Amino acid sequence: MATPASILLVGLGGAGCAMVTRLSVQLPAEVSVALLDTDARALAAGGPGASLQLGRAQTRGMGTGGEAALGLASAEAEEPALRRLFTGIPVVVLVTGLGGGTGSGAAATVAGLAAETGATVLAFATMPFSHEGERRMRQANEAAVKLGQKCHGLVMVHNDLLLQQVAPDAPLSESFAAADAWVGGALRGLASAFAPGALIAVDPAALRSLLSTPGSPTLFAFGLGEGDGAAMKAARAAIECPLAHAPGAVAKVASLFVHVAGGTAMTSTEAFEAVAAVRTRFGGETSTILCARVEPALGDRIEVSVLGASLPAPKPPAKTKKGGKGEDPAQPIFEFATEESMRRGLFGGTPMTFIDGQDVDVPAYIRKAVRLPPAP
Amino acid sequence: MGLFDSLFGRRRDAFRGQADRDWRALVPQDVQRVPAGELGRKRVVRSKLPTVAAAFFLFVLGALIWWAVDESAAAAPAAKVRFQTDGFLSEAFVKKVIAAGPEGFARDVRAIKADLEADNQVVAADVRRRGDGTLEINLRERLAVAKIVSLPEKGTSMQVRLVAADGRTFAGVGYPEQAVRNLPEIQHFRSTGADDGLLIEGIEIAAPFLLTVRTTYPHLFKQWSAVSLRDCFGAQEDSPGSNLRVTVRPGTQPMDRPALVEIVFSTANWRNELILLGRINVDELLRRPGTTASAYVLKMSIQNRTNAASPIPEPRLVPVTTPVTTPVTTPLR
Amino acid sequence: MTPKPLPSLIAVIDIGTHKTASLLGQVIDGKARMLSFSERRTDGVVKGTVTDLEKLTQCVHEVVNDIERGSGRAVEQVYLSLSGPAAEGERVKGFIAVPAHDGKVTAKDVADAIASAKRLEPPAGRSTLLYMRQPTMLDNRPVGNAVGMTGKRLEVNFWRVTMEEGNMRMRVGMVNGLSIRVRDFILASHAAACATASDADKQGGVLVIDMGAGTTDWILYYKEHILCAGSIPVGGEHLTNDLSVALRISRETAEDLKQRFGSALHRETDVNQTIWKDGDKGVGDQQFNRGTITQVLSLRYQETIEFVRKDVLRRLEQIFPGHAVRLDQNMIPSGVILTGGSANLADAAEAVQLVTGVSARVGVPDFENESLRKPEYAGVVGLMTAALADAPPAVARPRGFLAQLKALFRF
Repeated sequence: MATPASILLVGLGGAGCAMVTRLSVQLPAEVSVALLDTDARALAAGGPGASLQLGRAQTRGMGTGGEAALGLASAEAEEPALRRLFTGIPVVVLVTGLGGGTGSGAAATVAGLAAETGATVLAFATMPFSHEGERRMRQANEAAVKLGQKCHGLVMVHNDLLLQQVAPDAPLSESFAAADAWVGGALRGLASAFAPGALIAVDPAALRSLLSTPGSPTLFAFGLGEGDGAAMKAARAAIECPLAHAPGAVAKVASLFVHVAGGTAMTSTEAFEAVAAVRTRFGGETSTILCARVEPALGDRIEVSVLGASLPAPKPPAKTKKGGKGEDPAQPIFEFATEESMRRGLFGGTPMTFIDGQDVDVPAYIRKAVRLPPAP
Repeated sequence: MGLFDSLFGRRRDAFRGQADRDWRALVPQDVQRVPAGELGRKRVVRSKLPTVAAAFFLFVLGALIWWAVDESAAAAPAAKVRFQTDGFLSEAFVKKVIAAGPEGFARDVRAIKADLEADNQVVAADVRRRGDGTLEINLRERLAVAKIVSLPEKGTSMQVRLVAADGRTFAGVGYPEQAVRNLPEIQHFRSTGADDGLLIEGIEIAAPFLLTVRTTYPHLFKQWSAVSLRDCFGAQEDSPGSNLRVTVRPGTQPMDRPALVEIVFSTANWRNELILLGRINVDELLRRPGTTASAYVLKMSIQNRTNAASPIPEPRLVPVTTPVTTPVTTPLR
Repeated sequence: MTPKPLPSLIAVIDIGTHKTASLLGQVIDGKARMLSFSERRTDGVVKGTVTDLEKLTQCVHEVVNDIERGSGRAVEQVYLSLSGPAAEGERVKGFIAVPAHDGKVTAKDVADAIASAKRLEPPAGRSTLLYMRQPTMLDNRPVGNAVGMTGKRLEVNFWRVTMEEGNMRMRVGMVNGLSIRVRDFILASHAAACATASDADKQGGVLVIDMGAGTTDWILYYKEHILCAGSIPVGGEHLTNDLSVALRISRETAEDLKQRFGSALHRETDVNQTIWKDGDKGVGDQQFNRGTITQVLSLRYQETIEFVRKDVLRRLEQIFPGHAVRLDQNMIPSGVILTGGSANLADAAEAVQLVTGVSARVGVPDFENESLRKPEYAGVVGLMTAALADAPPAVARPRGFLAQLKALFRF
């Protein structure tokens, strides 16, 4: 906390703090860490980095017990401290697990405060497993909507998808490792914009302007490849990353940021090929920002991380019976339905249906954690 | 339920239970309102279109049938007429007469001729139809020899009718003022009938007399202003005292001799008397010394024979003792 | 209240998630002869819920327009289908104690019992749409016609379908916007059953599952009356969506693959089969593993049938509280009839048999017109049959001269 860093990685709630703690072991220098939680013991057990206990008076250090309203009150109580935390930081990466109390309740408030202090906020939010029940799923859904309006970029990680990434007999911790890898890759990509010495450098301001409008649909993908043709493998892995194929994920974006990191053996041709492949798949017609780095530690592995944003969808013709609401320019120009259709795909705009506690709109094979054979 | 409901019916403000929540009760389906949306409006038009088209079709059908049936009336409504007359009648009069009849100008020629000749003013009408439908009409009108002035029962103004040579009267359509003024007036006549059927007693003598004067002695005709039939009634050919009294216009005589105010002809012998009048010089007679009265009556009639032995009646100038009265305009009925 | 006599024209509209179909028939000798049929893709309905009313209204208007132009007649009244979880059904009872001393039931008693059943209030904010007769019970014994029999307690049962008032107003208003009256609502599952299940099936007991694009409606018949009905908001769209997410392809491609290679059963032999999307191995063609396709689809399909089975059991428990009910061949001797667009999925009947343990077959509507003998048209064909069956036969109106003249000018 002595020197203001370029990127602040914030973990909110139990799941968020756990992930940030796991990641903090190998972070680029430009990233500093902060942990926010209502549970005092979890905070104490957390790793290095600043920690801030939310809602001392509301929860008395015991956590919210799954109540989103309590989480919201806790965050609002610590508003001045949070503002101090975020002041002077260009980019804030907020990691949180939605569905619980602290994560769902406080995420929107924290993101809003960070945005008000002038930071660009990129949020990674995990959605609960289908088996966790209807209440958590509904709470997570509502929180995601509110969070999406406040932060500049929102990437939703469905826990169900994580189960697809690992072998059926792998331990649970391995599935979380997949999520960690994604967030880590994102951090490295963002951090390299601020660090000097990149092969192809990028202006942090350009990166920030990519994520300039709150509530814009965000695309994030990450891929890793090694060996021969590592760049193309990494590009393919990024294209097929489940984050980009979640129900309701955006397929094509207008502005793209591609970060390619590789070992000393990486050539610029390889890098450009990878970028071209990514562009064909994800769009980026308006602008593509390319950053390439050489990290000797990677060896013959090549990492490709993609971050993309579009302009928000145009507001559909207002069919509300009330008179036209005064439009606040700071508010997003989304209608709830379009936001819904992005998160829930085809079934946006219809009420969520829960049978036996599961959201039946989510594909059956995901909810049943059936691993599909890879594509030929 | 039952009697209570049927007496007091349904009250909307009272919730009567299930019946109010039935969807039919909640949504009275008002399908007569203006349909929403473009397709709805097109549908309404399409559903009304057959009615309109059928009505229009029937209307057109009716119009066609009517037109076909009435086709004869449509021939040449504005037919041309070529008109000639030897009198004063105008083309407009003729057209009016023709149009007033049934079928108007499409009538056959004989009917038009009959219509025209029904008017007393027309003696003969020569009506021909040319090939292109034009009517050629030549009229011969009655010659007016006198006029009669009467005050009709229902009117305030004088009614002037003209008398023709055969005794028939007619209205004198188209006659200019001057011509009517120049005609002598028949006075003190007894008549029956009215208008075209007016029959003047004694006209069978007076009219030929006036015609003869008009044709043979037009200068005399111009000077006469009236013919009185006062003494004419009951006249027989040779009955004494049956006269035609002709009043002479005062303005036609020179001022330096006594005026001749009246000439009396006999009803029996007026032809000879006219010939005689043509031979004598009235002016010289009036200038003879001894004519001292201011006005004289010239008696031409044979009834004035004073000398039974003389076979030829002589005209006599009789002084007028009573002051000359203006011609009485009211007829003696 | 005696039902009004049928008009000589019957128009039915089946508004589904994937398509809106409409049928216009003329009633001749108590049978309906089809005059015209029209069908359009539905816009604005997802999972059986209306998301865009304007688009749906436009779609319905176009369908009615097509059917009028096709037949040259004007539609004045229409029957609407009722499907989806929005139309909830429940059993209502009305009972009276038989007043006569000798316990003989009269028609008036039956009418009174019916009136008392219909007097029950629907849940708050909902309006009643339908009453469907269920077996009459006399002293807790089901009887066919109670008039003339003796007993102490007469109970009439109805299956009452209610819907939220706003939802109902919206549907009726949509049709009224075209200056057409809604004559009545008909339950979609009942309609599907009228088209595919015979009277013998209904007498013995049958479960008809109409699995459409957005919803799955089911209805259970027993002794020729409806026992219970329900709806699950999962349908063919979910199958397609699952496939599109799993294979990372667009929905259109997923729909195509589902129809060509989909199956409701996953077999081991499928796993190693590779299929090409376009089949010509040209540029842009993609390879897929058949096993993936069948696995995804079969998981979703069998899960949906499982949901239906659980829903049926739940309803049965509500109706017969305290009894141990089982959905087996004893309960429904005629088994399960599968219909609706998603019944076209390969091996669907076997999958249902696997999940429910009861014999199952795919039901095809019986209709004069060859092109409508497909499961996806069971709804609209059944609507026509149900409309005929539920009202007395038609009274033919003599057509006057003016009406015939107007008919000449119809475009």
